[in-house]
Amino acid sequence: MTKLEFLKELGTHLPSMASEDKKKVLDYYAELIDDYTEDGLSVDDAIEKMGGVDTIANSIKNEIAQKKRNGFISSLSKTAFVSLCTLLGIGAFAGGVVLICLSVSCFAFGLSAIALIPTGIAFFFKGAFAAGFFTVGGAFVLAGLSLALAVSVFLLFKYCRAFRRWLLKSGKECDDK
Amino acid sequence: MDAQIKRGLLDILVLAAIKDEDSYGYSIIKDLKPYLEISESTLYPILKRLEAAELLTVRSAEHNGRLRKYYKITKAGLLRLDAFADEWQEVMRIYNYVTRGEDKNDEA
Repeated sequence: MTKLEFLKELGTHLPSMASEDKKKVLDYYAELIDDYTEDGLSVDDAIEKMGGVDTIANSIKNEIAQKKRNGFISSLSKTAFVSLCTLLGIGAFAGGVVLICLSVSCFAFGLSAIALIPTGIAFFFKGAFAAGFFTVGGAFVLAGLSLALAVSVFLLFKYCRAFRRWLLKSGKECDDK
Repeated sequence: MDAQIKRGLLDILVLAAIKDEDSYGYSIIKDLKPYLEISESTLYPILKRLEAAELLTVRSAEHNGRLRKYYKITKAGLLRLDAFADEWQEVMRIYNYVTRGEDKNDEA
């Protein structure tokens, strides 16, 4: 088998690989064959020493599969990961501010609702039914808003915690590289 | 050797192989042979991984009328080797703890 035949066959074993990556792999093995032959080995011996086309192709496929399992974060360089974390950190800070605002609003709406209900009832006792209905209605609207905000805060907090866990795990993966 | 330990050591060994001077794939495999058997197909993903982690850089240079890729360790790569040396002290402490009393057992 000639070097070109080997490279052609290896290429056919890697159909799903991006052409740029495939070229790099083929260049790497072409260089190794050149080095082996320069060291006195025949091309066939060099190919055999490297394990043959099937073994090499399987090894490359396994590596690609492993990379896919590790996911997007693992494929990032440390600098890229730090940049991504910085952006996410800014986002998290903004999210935190929103979370605090929502919590305060929720608390304020809840308190207002509690205060408006006895006020509305007092209007009823005084005979001011329109004002009473308006006030009690307003109290229910505020209570509803408060409840909706409380649910939003709870869900936001829950997803933030899940995101934090994912980020820590990904950071560790990136660090282990 | 345990596959996980070997995997961790291979990265370090490849960095160590290019610590003093730039080197190329074939030479790295030959240099590491006395310490740990490494196949050509194993080396390639390690080199790609180390490059992605910015622990080494690659340049092409002409050699006997063809291009050969040379790998150069970066500052981060050197720091990684220093960190490994520090971590190894810890590993040795664990090793000593695990193997404690074995000499006495052997003598008995």
